Amino acid sequence: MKTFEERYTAYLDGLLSESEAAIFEQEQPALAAQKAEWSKLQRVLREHLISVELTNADFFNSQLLQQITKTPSRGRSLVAGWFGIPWLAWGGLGAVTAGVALFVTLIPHGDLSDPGSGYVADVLKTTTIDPNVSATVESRKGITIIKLEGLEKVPADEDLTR
Amino acid sequence: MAGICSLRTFLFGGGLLFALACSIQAGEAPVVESVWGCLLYASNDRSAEKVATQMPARIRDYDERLEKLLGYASIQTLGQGETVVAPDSPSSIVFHGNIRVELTGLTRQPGEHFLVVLRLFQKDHQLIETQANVTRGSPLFIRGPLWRSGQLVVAVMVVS
Repeated sequence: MKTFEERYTAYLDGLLSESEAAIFEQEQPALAAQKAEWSKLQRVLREHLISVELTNADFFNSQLLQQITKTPSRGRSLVAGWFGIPWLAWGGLGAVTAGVALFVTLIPHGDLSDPGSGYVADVLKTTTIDPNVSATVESRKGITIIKLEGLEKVPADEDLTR
Repeated sequence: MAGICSLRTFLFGGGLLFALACSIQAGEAPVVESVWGCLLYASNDRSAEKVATQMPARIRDYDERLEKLLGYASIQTLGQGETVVAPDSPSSIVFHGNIRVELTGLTRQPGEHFLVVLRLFQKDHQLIETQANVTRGSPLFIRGPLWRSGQLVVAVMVVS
């Protein structure tokens, strides 16, 4: 099924068959007048538009080319100015650099020369069932130890290495 | 049209809330992690130092600090072990002399911290139960009973 635009274009160009054109004109009564106007316009254009041949075509072409070469190429100059790397790459590089700079300055990080700087061991609660046993927590920089007191001594003859 | 917009808004908001709930849940959910432990012997016996095992590589950096804190001149390794702690299934690291560390809970906290609950046993006798907030690779030391001319120390550390 052709659209109206397709049928209208074909009608003006005279590509519709007689029967199709007749049906289309019946559907759109104003078409005949429009086609007449269109034919008239085509005829006037054909009569009055005459192609002019240049007597100095080579000179005209050379002038035109000269104008084109004089026009500065914005893209090329920018590329040359940025060492041939596109804007997008420089933008990405800048964003990564800014990200790294922000990470280094804003994110807290441990001292890599100090192995205990990232150490976290906070004892929240300790309980002992035996009333004779007590536990104390001692925290120093980079180390936490729970010290148990009141424990029975492990027999010396017990071999804990095997 | 307005109905579709409000439905989209509703779905988007619902999705956001779901994602938020999931992230909160994931942040404090029980986790499956490996926990490593070792039994150390701190003493002033220099002769034993020559034949005994060195400090495990995982806690070698704590050697000097531990000696200073315990007041002993040398620390030797008697044994070490590793276990996987899964939700709702306590697991243990057992050393010689039936000294064992039972890990009853391990929960991930915000900021890559772990809430660890452990018990130290000597034979069937529970010595201590402790709850600690630790990070991966930070050992918690427990100074235990006396043995021979020194003292036993247990180190426990979340490793993976």
